[in-house]
Amino acid sequence: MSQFHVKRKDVNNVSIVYLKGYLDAHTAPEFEKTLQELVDENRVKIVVNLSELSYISSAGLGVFMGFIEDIRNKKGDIKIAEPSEKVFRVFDLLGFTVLYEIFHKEEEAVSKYSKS
Amino acid sequence: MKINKYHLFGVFLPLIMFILIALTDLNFLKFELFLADIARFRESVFVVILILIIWGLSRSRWIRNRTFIQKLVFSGLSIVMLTAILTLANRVSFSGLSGNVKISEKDIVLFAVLVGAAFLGCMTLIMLKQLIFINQGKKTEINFRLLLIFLFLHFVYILFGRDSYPSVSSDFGLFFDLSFMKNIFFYLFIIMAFINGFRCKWIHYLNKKQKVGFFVFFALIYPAAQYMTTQTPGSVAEMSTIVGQFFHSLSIFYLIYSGMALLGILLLLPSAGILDRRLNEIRSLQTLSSTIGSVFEKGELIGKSVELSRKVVNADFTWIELKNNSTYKLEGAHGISVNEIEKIPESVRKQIYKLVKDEKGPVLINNLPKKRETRDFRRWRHKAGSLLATMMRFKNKELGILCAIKKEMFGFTEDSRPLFQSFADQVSVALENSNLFQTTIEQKVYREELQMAHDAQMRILPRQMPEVEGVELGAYCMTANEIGGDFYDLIKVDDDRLDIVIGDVSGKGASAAFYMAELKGVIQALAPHFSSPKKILMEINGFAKNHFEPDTFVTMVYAILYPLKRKVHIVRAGHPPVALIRDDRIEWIETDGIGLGLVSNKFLNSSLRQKMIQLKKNDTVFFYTDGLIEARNSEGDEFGESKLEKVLIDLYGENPKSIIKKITARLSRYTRGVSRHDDVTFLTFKVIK
Repeated sequence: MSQFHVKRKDVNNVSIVYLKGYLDAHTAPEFEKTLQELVDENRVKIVVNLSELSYISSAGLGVFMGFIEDIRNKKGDIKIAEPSEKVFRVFDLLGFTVLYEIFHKEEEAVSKYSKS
Repeated sequence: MKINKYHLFGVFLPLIMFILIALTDLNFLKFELFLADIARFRESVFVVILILIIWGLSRSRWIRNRTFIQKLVFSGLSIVMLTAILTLANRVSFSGLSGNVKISEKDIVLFAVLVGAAFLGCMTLIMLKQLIFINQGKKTEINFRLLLIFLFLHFVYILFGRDSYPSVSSDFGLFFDLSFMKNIFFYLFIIMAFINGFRCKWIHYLNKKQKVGFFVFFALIYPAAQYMTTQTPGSVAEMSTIVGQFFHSLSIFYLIYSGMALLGILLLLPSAGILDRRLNEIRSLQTLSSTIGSVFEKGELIGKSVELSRKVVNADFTWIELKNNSTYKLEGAHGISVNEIEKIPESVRKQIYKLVKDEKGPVLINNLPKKRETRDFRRWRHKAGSLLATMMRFKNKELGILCAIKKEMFGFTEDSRPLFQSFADQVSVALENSNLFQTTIEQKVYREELQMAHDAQMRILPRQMPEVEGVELGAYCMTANEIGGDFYDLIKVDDDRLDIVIGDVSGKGASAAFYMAELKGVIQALAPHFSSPKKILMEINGFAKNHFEPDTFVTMVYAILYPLKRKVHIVRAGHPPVALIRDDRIEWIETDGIGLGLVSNKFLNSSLRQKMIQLKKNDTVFFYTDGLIEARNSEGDEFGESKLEKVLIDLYGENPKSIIKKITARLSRYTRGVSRHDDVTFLTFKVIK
C-alpha cells in the first residue's frame, strides 16, 4: 500500500498544502478531499508544496486538472512549489509547466499572490 | 425371513433329528436306570442338537435385525411363556415314570410342545446374547463364551463326570444339591451370569418413558422367572436331563440378568429426564452443524437457525436480527410470524439491544413482566415470561442478535445459557461463511468478466505488424491489470504512408480502457483525412476535452512515416520523448507539447510543435510509454531513462523484433518478484533500405 500524507496550513488568505509520499490512483482521493474542503471554504489561493513528494502518477496529475478550472473561475489558482527533479520532469513532459506556475521556493509562490 | 444354510444346519436339521429320534423309539422318552449308557448317548445327542440350534439361530439375520426393544420384550415374554409351558407340563404327569412304558397322545403333544419350548429357549438365549453385546467392549465376547463353556462343561460333567448316572432330582444345580464339587461348573456359570449381567448398555438408549416402562415390565416378569426356576425340574427333566438342565440354567441366567437390569434402570431413572434433554440438545447442535456445512443461501440459513435454536432451548418463539450498516433488521422468526415480532414495543427491543450489548455472554431474564426494563412486554399481544438473548459475533464483528422467548416465567434454566451461546456462535460462523461465499461468487464473476474484457482489449491492438516496404517493425504491450489505458496503432494509410501512434490514457482500469478503445476508433477514422500529425492531435484534443472527464487526459506521440521518402513527421503531446538511434548514438526528440484533453485547442495550437526528421539506412526509432521507465524492481528503484538509453545503444544494429524481445527480457529480469503497477508499451521501427 502506497504511503501518502496530506497536511494543510492556512496563512492569511493563502492555503499551503503539503504532499508527502506517493500520489497515485490509490492515494489520489485523499488529496482530492483536501482540495474539495478548500474549495468549499472558498479558500482558492492555493500553493501545493511538493518537496516531500517522491512520485506522482497520471491519476495524481488528474487531481490538479479536476479542480483547476473551477478554482481559476473563482479568481484563485494552484501554484506549485519545490518539486523534486523527478516530479518536475513528469510535469515538464506532460506540459504542466505551461499550465501551472512552478516555483523553487514556497515563499516565492505565496508572495506571488500578494503581488497580483 | 430368509432361510439360509445356517438355519438349515443349525435349526431345522437338529429339530428334525430330535423328532425322529423321539419317534423311532418312544422308549427314549422313558428313563430307565439300567439303560444308562443309551440314555447318556441320547443326552449327548441332545447337547449337540441344542448347540446346533443355538449356533443356527445366532446366524439368523432376522433375529439380529430386531431392535433391542423388540429383543427385550420378546425374551421377557418368552420366559413367561416358558414358565407357563413348564408349569403346565408339570401338572400333566407322565403315565408311568418307572416301569410302565405306555405312551399316550398326551405324551406326544407334550413332547412336541417341549420341543417348541426348547426352540424358544434357544431364541431367548440368543436375544439375550445380542443385548449383552450392545456397545461391545474388549471382554464382552470372552465373558459370554465363558458363560456358555461353563454351561457346556456342567452338562458334560453331569453326563460323564460321575460314577452312576445321575438321578432325576439330585442334579439340579443350586437349589437342590449344594455340594460344591458336584456343581463347580454350575457355580462358575452363575458367576459368569453375574459378570454378563453388568452388560445392560441398552438402558442408555431408553428415554425416560421407556425406562419407566421397562422397569415395570422387568418387575412383573421377575417373579415369573423365579417361578420358572422351580418348575424346571419335573416333567421336562424326566424326559431329558439335559433339556431340563438347559431350561433351569436359562431361567437362572435370565433371573440374574433381569435383576441387574432392574437395578440399573432404577439407578438411572432420576437422571433420565436430564439425560433426554441433553441428548436432544446435542442432536440439535449436530443438526445445526451439518446444516451450516451445507447451506450457503442466507434465507435458508436464517430459517434453519431460528427453527433449530427454538428446538434446542425448547422455546415458544425465536427470532433473529441481522446488523445492516449500523441498524438491526428483523430477518426471521420461528413459532410466530415476523410481523408479530415487529409488534414488540420499541422500548423493549431497545432494552434488549442494550442488555445484549453490555453483557459479555447471553442474557437470561426469567421474569419479563415483573422486571422494570422489560415491563412493556405486557403491551404485546402474546404472553412473554422468559427471555434468552445473545449477540452473534464473528471475530469481534457484530453480526446480529438471536432471541428466544418462553411464555411462562422461569422457563429457561441457567445451563441453557452456554448452550444458546454455542448455538449462536455456530450461526455466526455460518452467516459469515454465507457472506464470504456470496463475495467469492461475485469476485469470480467479476474476474471472469475482467478476463473477457482483457481478451477483447488485446484484440483491439494490431494483431500483426503491417508489411511496409523498406521498414521493419516491432511492438510490445502489456497491461498492468486485466485492462488498462496504454495503446498503440499502426495504420497503413497508403503504400508510402504508415501512421504510428502510441498513447496512454490517464488512470487505470475499466474507464481508461474504454477511452482507449474510443480513441483508437477516432484515430483510425481521422488518419486518412489528414496529412499533418499536429492537425490530427488537435482533433483528438477537441474530442477529449469535450468527451472526457476533467481529470482524464491522454498523452500521445503521433508519427507519420513516409518510408520511400525516408521521412518521418513527429508530434509529441505530453508523452515521454522518442529516441532516434543512429550510428551508436541517441538523439531524444522532445518537442514542445501538452497532454490532450487538458487545454483548449487555441492554447494547444500555440504550444504543440511538429518535427520532421530525414532518416538514413539503419536508423532505429523507439517509442515507449512511462510504464517502461517507471517499472520498479524489488528494491523500489525505477528502470529509468538512463538505463533505457544504455540498453538502446547496446541494441543498435539489431532488427526490431530482436530489440523488442531483448528489452522485454531485460525488463522481466529487472522487475522479477514485483507485480506490475502500470501498463508497459513500446514499439520500434528500423529503416532497412
